[in-house]
Amino acid sequence: MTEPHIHISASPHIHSKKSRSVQTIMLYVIIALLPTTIWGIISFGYKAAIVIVTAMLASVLTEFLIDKFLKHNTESIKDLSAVVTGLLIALNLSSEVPLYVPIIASIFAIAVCKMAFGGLGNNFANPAIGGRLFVMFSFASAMTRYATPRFLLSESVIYPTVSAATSAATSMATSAATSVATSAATSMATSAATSAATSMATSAATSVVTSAATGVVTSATSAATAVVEGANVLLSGATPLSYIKSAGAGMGALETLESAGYPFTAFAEKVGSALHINPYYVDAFFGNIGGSIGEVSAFLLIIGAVFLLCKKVISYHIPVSYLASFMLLTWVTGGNPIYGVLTGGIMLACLFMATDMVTTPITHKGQIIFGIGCGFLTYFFRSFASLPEGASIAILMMNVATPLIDKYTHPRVMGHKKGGAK
Amino acid sequence: MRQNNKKLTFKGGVHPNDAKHYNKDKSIERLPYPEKLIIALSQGTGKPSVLTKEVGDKVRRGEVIATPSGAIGNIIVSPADGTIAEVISITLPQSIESPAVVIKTDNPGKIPGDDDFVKIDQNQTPLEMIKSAGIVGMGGAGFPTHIKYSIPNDKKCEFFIVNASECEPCLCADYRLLIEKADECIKGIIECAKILSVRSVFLALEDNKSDALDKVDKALDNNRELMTQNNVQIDVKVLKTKYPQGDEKNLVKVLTKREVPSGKFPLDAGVIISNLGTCYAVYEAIYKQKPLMERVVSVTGDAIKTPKNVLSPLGATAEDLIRFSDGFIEDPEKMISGGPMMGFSFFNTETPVVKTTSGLTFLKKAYNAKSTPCISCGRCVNACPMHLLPTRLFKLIKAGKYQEAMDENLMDCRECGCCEFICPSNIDLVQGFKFGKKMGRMSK
Repeated sequence: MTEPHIHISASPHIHSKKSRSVQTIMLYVIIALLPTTIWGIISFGYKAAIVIVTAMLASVLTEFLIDKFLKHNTESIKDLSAVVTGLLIALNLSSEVPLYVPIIASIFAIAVCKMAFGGLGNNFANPAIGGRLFVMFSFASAMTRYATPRFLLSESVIYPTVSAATSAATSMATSAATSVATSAATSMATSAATSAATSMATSAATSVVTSAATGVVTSATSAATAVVEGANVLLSGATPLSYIKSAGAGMGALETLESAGYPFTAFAEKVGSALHINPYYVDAFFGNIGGSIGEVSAFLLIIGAVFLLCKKVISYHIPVSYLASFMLLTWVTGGNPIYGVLTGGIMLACLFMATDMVTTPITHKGQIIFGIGCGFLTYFFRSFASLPEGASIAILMMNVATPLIDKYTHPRVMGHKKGGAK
Repeated sequence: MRQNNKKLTFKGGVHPNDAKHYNKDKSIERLPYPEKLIIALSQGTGKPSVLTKEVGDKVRRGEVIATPSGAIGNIIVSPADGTIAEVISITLPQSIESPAVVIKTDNPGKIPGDDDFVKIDQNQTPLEMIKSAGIVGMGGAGFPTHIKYSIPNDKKCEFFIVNASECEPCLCADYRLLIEKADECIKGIIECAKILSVRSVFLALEDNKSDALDKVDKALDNNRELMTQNNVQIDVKVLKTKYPQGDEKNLVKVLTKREVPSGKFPLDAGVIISNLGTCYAVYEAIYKQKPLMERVVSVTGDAIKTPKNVLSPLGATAEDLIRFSDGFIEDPEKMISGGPMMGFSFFNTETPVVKTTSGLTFLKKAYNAKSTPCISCGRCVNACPMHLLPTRLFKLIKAGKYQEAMDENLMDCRECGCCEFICPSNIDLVQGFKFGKKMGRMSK
């Protein structure tokens, strides 16, 4: 008998169809990120698409060049991990950033965080997080300018209830009366969106007229109108989280938003009243809030994560322990755990960046510790640090702790006593 | 008697396609005598046995041709009437060099009968009969059964587990035995339990073999009297279909909630485990005075034209079995002695059937993906039935830190292949562990 191509190898001779390659895993991650990516582009417009494409291209190109000139082997580019890194970086950026920001973030992520340590599998920190933090600290002002999502700019947007508007107007009128019209107008500009500013200015004007401070009113109105154009383009620092942060203690998250005049969509109003929930929750859940391109829609992020869970790319241990510990701590300290989780980068971070396999513990037990650590650190950064966000830094710190966690969470080998394994 | 309420299983493991459909429904067929038989003198654990005949000697079916050379070894009988033609050296699929006897058969093409052989001496204790029959553990380990069943005075066997789980994909040898010879199997099990003086017996099988349960129940009913006479209680345990359910350490844990201490045998946990095929061989030895000279071999895989379960004389070559199964649909890229998870690949169709050959698997395509770097996904950790950290062990071995790998319990690895099966980076973990164990032993 002829044996044309007989292969000889050690067992096993078959392989799971469900985990064929790293490439498949990365592809699944990209698919899981698609919904939130598309939503980001819908919400924030073509600028978001440009940021995403730029970051992905920069990542892949960086890895390709390093592979080609330093490793002389471009095989690793096929595993799609650079694409994932680029995409994650972009999703963590505001659509308003200048394009050098995603480029620099990607280069730093790939070259320093990943390739310098030996490429995929050897990096200790999540490259996307490394890249993001690098630009966050380097270009702080550019990083905190956010665009208003499309659906908050539409005509049908609803502003907080009349009573709230009146009280805001009254307070404004008072301040106007003490002739700080400029500051009132500024505060209005920072808080409200386009048409809101106009309507509020009008109501403010009316109430002020009754309080007979005519001269000041005129200047307040004109100042407000002037700022409206600016607010039309950008709500600088307008993520709900930054509002809550700046309001400080003593005021609930939702009340803060309400008194600041933060708008919500008609859709949120409808759903909210039908289900008896505050419309701010609805908007935050579905993604009608300001923020980074990919972080706004908790709903779509969860859909992506469920897909990854079903494909067994990620396990539930890190996200669940992360969110649970964060929410618990927020709740215990009197914060709003639900709104806290729905806003800011925590969803994106905990579902897609804290679950990065390379930089997280290998056992489920270790992953739970990792998740709890992330949750606690995120809480502390959000509550006590100067930045409104904390998820990225929290994950980075836990990445660093991962080898330690791994060391102390060795499973007990069968047939050995507990602690028998070193 | 039978537990159906909750399916027992262990933590870890993988779910390969069990691929039993190839020969699940093929009844056992007897292979006619080939022209020549190649009898490896290394048929299990221990040194190769020593030939007691000369080249040119006539031998009869069932006649002893080789005896153990050391304390651990087994008697080998001739599976056919014939002449000893020559002594050669062969390489078994396990990469073991072994001397082998080539027997030219007298009646090629004739189908072996049921009682045309030299019977073993009846005036012996059952244990001695097992020894004379040359029975070894037929699941794959090949440890001499008479030694396993001689329990030292300081140890006590409380449970006897009959392993019919056959978790290895493709193989159906034990399943067919249960379907066709359930009564004989049960009698064999009772004999084993008698030798071990054990009351509590578990017959473990995976739930993908539940069709055999009716036959087993019937056989149990038929032998009810024999069981009560000998104070033996056989409990059928249905396990979840998961690989490696049939691994002895897992089986002990699942069925008795005990753990076999690291580096020790199941007996150290008060358990003896035997494969179903072994129990059937014990039945034949004790009831029919028949030595072990043939066994059921599943000839299977997607490359074979007519997958069959063959009752093959020991020493028949892969070539004989392939021809008996009508050859290949297309030339296989991989030929495996055993199943695809733990079997050994071979390239020579002259490879003979030995006492531990439970199947020959022929695959059209060899899985041959290139390794990529480990991404620490932890799948291997979750799959490892021994709860080792395969990726960490592999990295240690790759770095040449064999002693450190040994300290992290490398020797507990069963080489079941779950980790490699599930690895998305296609890392050759098992090969690494085999190498690491070798190096670790050497450095000790």
